[in-house]
Amino acid sequence: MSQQEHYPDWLVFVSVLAAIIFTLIDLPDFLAMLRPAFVLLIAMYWTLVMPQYFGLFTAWFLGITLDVLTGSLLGQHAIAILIPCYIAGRLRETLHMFPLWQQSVMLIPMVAIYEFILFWIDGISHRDSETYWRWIQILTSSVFWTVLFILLTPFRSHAARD
Amino acid sequence: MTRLRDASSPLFARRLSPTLKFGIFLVLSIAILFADHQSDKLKPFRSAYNTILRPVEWIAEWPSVFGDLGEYFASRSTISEENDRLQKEHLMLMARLQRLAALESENMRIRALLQSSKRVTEEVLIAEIQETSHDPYRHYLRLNKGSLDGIYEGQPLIDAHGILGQVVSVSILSSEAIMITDADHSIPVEINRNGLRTIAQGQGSDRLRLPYLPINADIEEGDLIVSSGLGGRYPAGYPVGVVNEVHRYPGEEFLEIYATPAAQIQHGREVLLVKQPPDVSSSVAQSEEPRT
Repeated sequence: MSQQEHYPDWLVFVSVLAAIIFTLIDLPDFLAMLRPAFVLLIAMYWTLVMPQYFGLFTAWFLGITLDVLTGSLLGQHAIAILIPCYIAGRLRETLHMFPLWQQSVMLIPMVAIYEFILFWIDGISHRDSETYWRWIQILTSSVFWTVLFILLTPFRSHAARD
Repeated sequence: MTRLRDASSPLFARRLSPTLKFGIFLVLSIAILFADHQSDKLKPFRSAYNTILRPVEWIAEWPSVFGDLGEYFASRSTISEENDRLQKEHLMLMARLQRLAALESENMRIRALLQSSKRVTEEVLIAEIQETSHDPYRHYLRLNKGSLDGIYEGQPLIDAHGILGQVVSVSILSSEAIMITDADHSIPVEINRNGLRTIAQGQGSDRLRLPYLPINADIEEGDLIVSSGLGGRYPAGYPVGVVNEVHRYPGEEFLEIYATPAAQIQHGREVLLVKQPPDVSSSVAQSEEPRT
């Protein structure tokens, strides 16, 4: 690894908290359908840029937190966040080589995995509903990835270089 | 396991390979999923963790507090208009109530003649909606009353217009309720006009479906559906919805019927919790079970 990116510790905490809060805030129905998967995106972001600080456990635990907060089956969001984060961690080196807009395109499958796992577990536990609008979240999420980068990169410093 | 609670430190760093870690958490998640789906054993953990997370939920509720502030500074004309409207509505309701009082006493007399022990009035408790479901496809409410206020699991929930749902989980200071429109929910009902019994299923949208009515059933658009009280969970006679679509497909065995909920599912901040004495509801459940 040629360079070690570094972000202030408080930023990780604040961004995760903000992601949870934006997930919880009440929105009108049509906006709620467009709501990006904030927690998944922030978990993947930190997995990519600070893997030594933000590991799989933290991602998984965030999922459990989301399960408790949204009242879904315990483990549903946990598993849905865990798998994309693992894949993102594996593809870390590859993803870093691409420019931002290509990254958000490459992220579409990961968010699709997230949505599919949620949808699938809903189906297995007979909590499925009759709408298909949840898939639109995949697009809004990948758009938001760019926003996330623009918001968070100013805090980056290349403290440790070797 | 105690190590797992420490979320901030790099866990298992340089000791377990990411793939192994991933495998462990995957298996753990699946185990938890099954445990949560099949049993209630994880409920204490859920409600304890929820209590810890209350501050986060409070922060998330702030925008709606600002929304209320906006209402507070609403213009004078809106308020006086609303006042006019409410006064009219009050007058109308009072008039209706007078008639209702007469009807109720008549009903009581007739019931006494029939020597029926059915209760006509139930105790109610007002609770405030703290938040609605964050998932647009799940219809849940969080209420600001919990087991300290005497809320119990399965307690029916109504608003000014009809049945809203029932309580599904109770913690000390708050409780969670499922609405009749959730895809997981069904309520035993009858058609008010002729007493035809059926079930109203939630669809995860803002309408209800009435399955299993034979093609020759006597049901029309505009029919009022009320709770039948079968199953003992809901009190009988509260409005549930109004039939707004009846499709008769020739060759099909059953009608396809949809209804709009009577309760204002999307509006309002307060709900009423109906308190049923447990002995009454259980005896109703026992005596009426064979018929369902």
